[in-house]
Amino acid sequence: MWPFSRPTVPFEQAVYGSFPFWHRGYDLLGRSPGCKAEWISAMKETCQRLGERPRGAAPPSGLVSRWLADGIWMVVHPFSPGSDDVGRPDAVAFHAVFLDPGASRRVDYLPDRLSPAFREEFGADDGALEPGSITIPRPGPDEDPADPRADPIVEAILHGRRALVESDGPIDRLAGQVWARLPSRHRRRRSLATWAFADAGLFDLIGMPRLTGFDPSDRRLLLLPAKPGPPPRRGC
Amino acid sequence: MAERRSPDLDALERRLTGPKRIALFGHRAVGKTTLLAMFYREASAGQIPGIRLAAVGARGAEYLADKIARIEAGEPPAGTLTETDLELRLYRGPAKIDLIVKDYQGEHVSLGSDASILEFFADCDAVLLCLDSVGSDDPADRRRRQQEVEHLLERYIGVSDDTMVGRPIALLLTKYDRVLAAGGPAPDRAEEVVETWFGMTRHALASHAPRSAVFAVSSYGANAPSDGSPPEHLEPMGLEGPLLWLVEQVEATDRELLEWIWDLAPRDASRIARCVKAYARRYPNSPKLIEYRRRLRQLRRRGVVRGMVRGAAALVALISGLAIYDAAGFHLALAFERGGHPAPQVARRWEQFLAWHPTQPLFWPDESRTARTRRDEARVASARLRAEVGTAEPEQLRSELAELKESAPEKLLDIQEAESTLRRREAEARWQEIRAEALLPSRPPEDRLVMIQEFLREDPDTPFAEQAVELADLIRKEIDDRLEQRDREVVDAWLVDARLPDPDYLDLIERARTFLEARPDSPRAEEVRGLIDDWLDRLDRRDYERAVAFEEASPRQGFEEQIRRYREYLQAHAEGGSYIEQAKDAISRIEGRRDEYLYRQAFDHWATHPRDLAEVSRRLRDYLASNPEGRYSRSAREFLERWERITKANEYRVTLVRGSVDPGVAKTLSGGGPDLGVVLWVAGEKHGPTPVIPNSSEPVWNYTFPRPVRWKYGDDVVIQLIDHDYSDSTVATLRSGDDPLAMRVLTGTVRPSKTRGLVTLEFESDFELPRLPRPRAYVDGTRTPTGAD
Repeated sequence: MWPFSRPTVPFEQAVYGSFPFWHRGYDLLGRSPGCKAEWISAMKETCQRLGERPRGAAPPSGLVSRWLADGIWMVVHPFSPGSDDVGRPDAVAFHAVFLDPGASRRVDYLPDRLSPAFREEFGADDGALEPGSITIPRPGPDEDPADPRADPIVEAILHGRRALVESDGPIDRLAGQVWARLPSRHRRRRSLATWAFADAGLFDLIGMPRLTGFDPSDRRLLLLPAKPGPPPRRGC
Repeated sequence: MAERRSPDLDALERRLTGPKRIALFGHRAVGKTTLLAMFYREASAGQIPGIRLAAVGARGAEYLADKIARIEAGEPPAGTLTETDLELRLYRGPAKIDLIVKDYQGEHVSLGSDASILEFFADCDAVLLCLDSVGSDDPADRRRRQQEVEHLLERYIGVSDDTMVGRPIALLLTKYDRVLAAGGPAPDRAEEVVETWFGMTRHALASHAPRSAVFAVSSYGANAPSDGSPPEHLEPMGLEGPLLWLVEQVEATDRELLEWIWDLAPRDASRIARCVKAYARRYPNSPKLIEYRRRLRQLRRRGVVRGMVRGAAALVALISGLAIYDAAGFHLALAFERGGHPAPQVARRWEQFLAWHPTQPLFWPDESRTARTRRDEARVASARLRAEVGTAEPEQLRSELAELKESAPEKLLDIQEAESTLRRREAEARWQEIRAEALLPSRPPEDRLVMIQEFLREDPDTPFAEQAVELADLIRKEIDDRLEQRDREVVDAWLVDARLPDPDYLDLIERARTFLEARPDSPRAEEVRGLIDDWLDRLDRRDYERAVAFEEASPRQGFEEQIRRYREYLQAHAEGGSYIEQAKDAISRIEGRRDEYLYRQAFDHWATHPRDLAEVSRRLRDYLASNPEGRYSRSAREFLERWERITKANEYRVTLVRGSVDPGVAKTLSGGGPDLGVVLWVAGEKHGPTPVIPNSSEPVWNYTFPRPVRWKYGDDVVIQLIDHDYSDSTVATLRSGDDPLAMRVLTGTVRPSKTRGLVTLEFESDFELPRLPRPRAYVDGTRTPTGAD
């Protein structure tokens, strides 16, 4: 039996996006009273830098983790509410939770532990959100097989490089393994987007549908294509 | 000369030469993204005559391709979330214009927004205002959209010097297919729609944007469904108008910018050249280009002429200034000289003047010659003065005077006088130095003497010659006194050494002789010679006495060492030794004793062991080796020769002379006596028998064996006496046994031992035993020889 009580973690929250039930396009749907304006600005900036979904790519999903200037940990869950008010498809919405440093420590800086805090059903009457809290689930047995890409990604991140992973969908499982292997002092500083459509240079680990337009010789980047090509030939 | 750079000019140049920033302004859902994608689709595929649009950046191309793919698949583009930079290149004929367009969230142009896209709009080169031609039926919404446009225009007007927006603005009525579907006016009468629905915007543009236009566009075309989705067949409408207008307006703007820069900086040829070059690269066939280039050439030509005039003026001013500068400097130096300053200062002043006025000979040749003459005069006077007072380094002054001889030969007398003064001063200084050294000597007197000699040699006419000679004599006396003192100390040290027990006379003599070689005229030379003779005598006597003492103290048989000591003495004192004869006598005496001693060794052994001739021979050889001419050397050699002979097989003649047999021993069966004969066995070889002498107990044979006996040292000899009376019987047998000298029995009388003296035989042979004479006792004058045997 688990001998300790499970910690309860409080958070502030906000929702931003384009919804079919209003004519405001992309805008802030609602936020809890404790959300500061600079958190909302950072949230909007982060969401707008995730890129436009290319045709055929998986819809927005996964988790986005960033550390704000005042030590607040912002974790965002993108999702698609369907079409917007004028019938254009692929509208995107974002549910963000904000944790203070103490709450972040209780979560052990692992964003996937906050997954139960996110929801995708929002309506026009969600303009005023209440502060939330979740009970951190007990750590269960790790049944996922180890991803061989995790170690090189951890090594790259520890050396200050950014890892870009090509994938068919969100890389939540890989990111979970990577973040679990990172020392906590690195988890406390590194950013993550498990599924994004553009690289704006904000994230240390990012999952993307296509790795086009990147310089393979850029030593600051670790590019992991979905189908690895032949190893680079050694110079004569 | 380039104009002073100002921020405005730099900004204008950047706007002219950089890519053109095009603002696509419009609220959300007005169709900006679709319009951009369709512009690219149509213009890149040649659907717009004379216009081609290309995507330069990879991301922009991918972005537009994705949007076009959605539209062509019948999907409307999603609402834009992310701001995307699009780098495009617009071609019209040879003209090539780089464009930067941004796609963005239409929500960002809402009133009150502070999105970053507004900063891009503020600095753009042309504006495409997009308004939904149908839009909302709500007048408030339409007004709000126009207020957004108004807000943008007000920002432009706010930063302009007049009330104009300062850039071309086109109003695009999007989705015009819906207007046509509703029976609205044709696209060429779109201004009627603007007048009806967007009067506020039309009025603002008319008032503040002289370079504005209105275009009715539809990205999807007339058959677009009413739900906003793309039709199956895209028939875009009116897209060529905005693009053609944009090219014309951008070129017109570039021309205005160029003219503006030309007005602001009409002499900044480099900046204008850069702008004209950018314009030419962008519009290579523009008719204005010829005019710009002509004007630029004129500008450059004027600039060159202006520069030349300025240069000439500057040159004249420079030459005039130099002439004035040289004249003023000359007169100031002249005034300085007349001011009564000391000669060195005057010389330095003239030197400085000539160094700082290298152009004076060009402008004022007479004054220049005067200046050089004055300088030389001042230098000569300065040199004389410095030589007199001794403030100059002699070598430096000497070289300076040598230089002056060449540069100012007319001053030769003065220069020679200065040189004479310098020499005199140097001699004085040198003499003072020598005197000081003599009074307070810090160097050896020999060095000081050499110093004086050099002084006199270098300057024989010196007025200090007499004093120098006197001083040299004093130093010589000092040197003599020091040498005498040193000689005395040396000799005294020898005497001390000589008084020590067992002094090393050889070393003392060597030192004394070295001293005499070095100091033959020393006052103590005679004494030293006497000492040498005395030490030689002492050494002679000591060496002889040491040899004698050794002889007396050493064992009697240490002949070699005793002789060696005497010979060492003879060798050391071969010339003039007082005991040479005694030493020679001693050597002779020791050699005699050695002769007798070694011979006696052999003789005694022979006497006690007569059979051991081998050892006797070895000792005799030792004797001969040490005394080849000894008194017994002849006997020793004879012995050794005999020894050598008997050690080899030799033949000897043996004669049996007679015999004597006691009658009781022999038979008397017939005739009353024995019939005796003898047989010899030598080295196993039989000789005989001899003739038989019948009936005689004292037979006389005198018989010589016909065959010589062959014998060598060690062979045995057997003598058999046989009685042949009646029957042969052996009377006596003599065997030599282990006697190695068995042959000797055949010389002399033989008495076989078993006959107890009753039988004797007498032989004669030519065999001789080696013999040694008895040594005689050795007698000398100094030592008593031990007794002879």
